[in-house]
Amino acid sequence: MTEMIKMIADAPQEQQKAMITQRLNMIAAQPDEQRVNSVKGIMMGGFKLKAKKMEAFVINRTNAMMEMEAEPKQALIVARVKAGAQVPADINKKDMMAIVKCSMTWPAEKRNMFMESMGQVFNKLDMPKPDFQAMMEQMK
Amino acid sequence: MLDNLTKRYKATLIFGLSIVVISLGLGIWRMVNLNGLIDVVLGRILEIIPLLGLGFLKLGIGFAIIVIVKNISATGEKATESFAKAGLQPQKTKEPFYTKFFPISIISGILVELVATGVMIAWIITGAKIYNGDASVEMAIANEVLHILAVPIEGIGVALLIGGIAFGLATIISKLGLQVNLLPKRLKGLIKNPDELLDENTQYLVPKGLKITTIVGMIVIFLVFLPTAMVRAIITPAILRGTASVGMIYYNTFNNAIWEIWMFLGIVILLFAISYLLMEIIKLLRAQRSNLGKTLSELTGKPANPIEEELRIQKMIPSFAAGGLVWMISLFIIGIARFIFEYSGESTALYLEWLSGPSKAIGLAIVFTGIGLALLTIVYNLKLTAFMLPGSFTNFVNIIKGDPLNKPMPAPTTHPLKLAPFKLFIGILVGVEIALLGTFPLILFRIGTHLTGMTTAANMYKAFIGPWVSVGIGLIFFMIGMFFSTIVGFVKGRRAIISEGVQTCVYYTLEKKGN
Repeated sequence: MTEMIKMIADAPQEQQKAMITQRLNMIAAQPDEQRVNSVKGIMMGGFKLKAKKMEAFVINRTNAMMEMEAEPKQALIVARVKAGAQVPADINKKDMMAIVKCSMTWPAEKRNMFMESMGQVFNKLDMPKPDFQAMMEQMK
Repeated sequence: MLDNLTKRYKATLIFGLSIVVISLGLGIWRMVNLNGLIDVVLGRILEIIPLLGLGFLKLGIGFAIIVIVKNISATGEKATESFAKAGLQPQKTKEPFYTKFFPISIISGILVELVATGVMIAWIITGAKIYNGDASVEMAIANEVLHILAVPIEGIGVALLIGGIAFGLATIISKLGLQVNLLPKRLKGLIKNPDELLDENTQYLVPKGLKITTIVGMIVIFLVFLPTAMVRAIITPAILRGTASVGMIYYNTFNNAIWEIWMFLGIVILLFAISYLLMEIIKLLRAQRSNLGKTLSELTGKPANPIEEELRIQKMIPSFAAGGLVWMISLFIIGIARFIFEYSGESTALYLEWLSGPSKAIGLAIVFTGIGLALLTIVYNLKLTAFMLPGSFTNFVNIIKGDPLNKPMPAPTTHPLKLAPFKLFIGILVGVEIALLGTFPLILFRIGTHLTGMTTAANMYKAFIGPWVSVGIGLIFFMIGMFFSTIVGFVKGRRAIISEGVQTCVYYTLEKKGN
């Protein structure tokens, strides 16, 4: 998976987004357990990239996910939350910070809907919700 | 242990290039120490060490190919495991001989080159003893025999390394070809007729001509050792003792004129085979996209998206491969002409030696340019395949689940050549340019210094130019290694996508069956 992430991250911008979208569509179609493993693989692979490339990759990934249909998008959000609990804490935190950074480029309405959606998933899975507000303050 | 070694293909490539660059430094040192013991020692080191560096570069390429083969094999195994859960009865196919042979050939090649290095060390010792006053016939014989054997032994190592690389590519073709044909058929069987998922006991056959060409190239190089070098090694003591017959002297003169170009002809035959093996891989990568697209079209009733046209540069590859081979055959004929003139005592022989010696690098440069174009096209096709595979599998899953198909993705780019890694190809061209600078300028320089009597300048240039050309060839091999390193990444990505994709397809098929 690391090599595939590196390959996508090294691709030109127009190709990168298209490849990420294709990959996310495939992951969204997978059964639950396999989907969580795939997202875990993407997070671990992304972490091995250099900091700037990792951030750009996560931003592209998040933007691609937000353009998907409601059902696969929700499936990926759930998988991301579950995978976050299964990877080392620093990987989860870095990935989440990049997601929050991406959301700060969106209109407020879209950002709030996304944060609320994620928050609901954390609550449903009975997992501690990250402090998105604090993360956004940290980035400003 | 082999697994740990092969993973270090990048480090091996860097190590090889370092040896070649260091030999350039030794060449410069020799240039300013033209007479004396340093000249004797460095002259002998520089016959072998640059070739050892090139050997490690080939080893790095070989290791990368072993990793590629492992990943392609794992892709097939994982997919077969998943299909077996859906009722596939996989048949055991007999693997071709070269699947097991090629890693052994590659490792043996570098070991033989290390033996040649040992012979070189012995040759240095004899040279130093002669320089220090040992005028015995036995020492002179030992010196000559070691000289005669060192490079041909190295040549066997080269044959094993390049032959191993060629058969490694043949192994990639046989495994990739099988998957390109079987995967769409199995997916169709899974979706249309899951109760009748039969395995097809098929092998993908590598074109016989390419296997034969590879074997011929290896034999041609082996013949430089046997009988040419071995026989010369036996005749030389007689010549030095003054007991050689006319026939022995005739044979020695003949071999002297042609053995080196004979070895390079064998190398170019191998590189010619490699060019065509790479073209076979390009064909398979296109076929993979085309076959998956046709299968989706058959299952959905919708027309398949046409695959991209071949790149124009792809059509140039056969010309470069053939051009390099024809060049080397011409030099071989010049070598025979040189022997005829030399035997007749004509000075034309000297000019033919000056012409043909440096010109070997031109033949190599032509064929390596073609190989560079082939690798560029392979990476381009791998990027297109990486782009289309996830979408194809998503649609296969949607068909099984009864969900609507995904909207077709736009083309990855409006400028196809943007997908080709030109930086790596330019690296090959730089290497070609460096090697070519050691050819025509050297020929002109040698003619010029012969006419003006500038022997010292000629000798300085001669000391430098061998390592210079080796740096050019070394850079070419290094960039080829980097190409294969890029390919490793894609093959690992392909393995993940196909394994997961088939696993998902089988999961939903079984779930549907259960309902």
